[in-house]
Amino acid sequence: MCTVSVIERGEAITSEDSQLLRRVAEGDAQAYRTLVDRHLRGLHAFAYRMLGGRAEAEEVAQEAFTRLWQKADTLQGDHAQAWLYRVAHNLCIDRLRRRREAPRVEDAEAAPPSGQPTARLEQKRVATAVRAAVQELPDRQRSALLLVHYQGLSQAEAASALGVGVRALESLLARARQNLRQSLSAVWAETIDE
Amino acid sequence: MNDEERSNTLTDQDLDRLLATFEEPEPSAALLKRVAEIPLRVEQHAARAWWPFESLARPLLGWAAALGVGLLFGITDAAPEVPWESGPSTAALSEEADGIEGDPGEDAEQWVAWALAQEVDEEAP
Repeated sequence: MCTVSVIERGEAITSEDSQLLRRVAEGDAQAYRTLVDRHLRGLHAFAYRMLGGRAEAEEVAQEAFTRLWQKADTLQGDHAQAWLYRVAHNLCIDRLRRRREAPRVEDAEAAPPSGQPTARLEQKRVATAVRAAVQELPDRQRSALLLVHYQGLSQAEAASALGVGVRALESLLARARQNLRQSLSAVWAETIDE
Repeated sequence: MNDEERSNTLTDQDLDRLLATFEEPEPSAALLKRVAEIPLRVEQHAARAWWPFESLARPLLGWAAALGVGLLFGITDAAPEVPWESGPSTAALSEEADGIEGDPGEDAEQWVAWALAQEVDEEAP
């Protein structure tokens, strides 16, 4: 029952997005802002988790919405959300490739200030380990995990965003979770021990 | 217990709890402003300024349609072939040609005389 209502809600949002997209194609700035309100936060979070840096994530989010505004007339029939995540995914992959070709200094994770309570430091340590484990995943596995687990896209929407079939997406998700289990097992064991 | 054995003890729920610690950053106010201002700064339909068709498929379809129409009317409007029987027979044409060769007539003699005179004029210094 709950699943049905979630699916119905998702379909309703997709339908509303399609209507908004049509209005954006006609130059309706208000419809554009409604799409921004709906998807900017998620898109920014996706890019941040993909790239690990706020500045780059903001550039990706801005570029994706610039393309949405410019190309809305050619996107009729597409799902705005899946399209936006597809653009963001491709922009992130481009940046990751460039980064590998010319390694740069990563955005340094701020060191925890001294004097923090032990529990807080432990929480920070676990969060840092999880962040590192997610970022060590192969790009497509990471994208699949972020889209489905964090951004709440359905498997069909995530598959569309990544340009793969649903079965391929399921495989990416399974491998991502298995890799994470292996890389986070030590952290989890320490957490339980403490 | 090695990592593989430990990973088997990490359930889906445990993994979800760990993944929940990866924070979701808030977009900055500057980003919200920049994105909201895109309609003011960026021209829409920029691609149409130099490309009048929505996609490559449209002009291709247009050209294909024009080719189809050209083929159709090209075939139906082709010049009708003249039936061979309605023209002069080859025998009649041959006789006419033989007559010209054998007896050029008065006009032919005049033309030869004129041509010779031209050659003489050209050779004269």
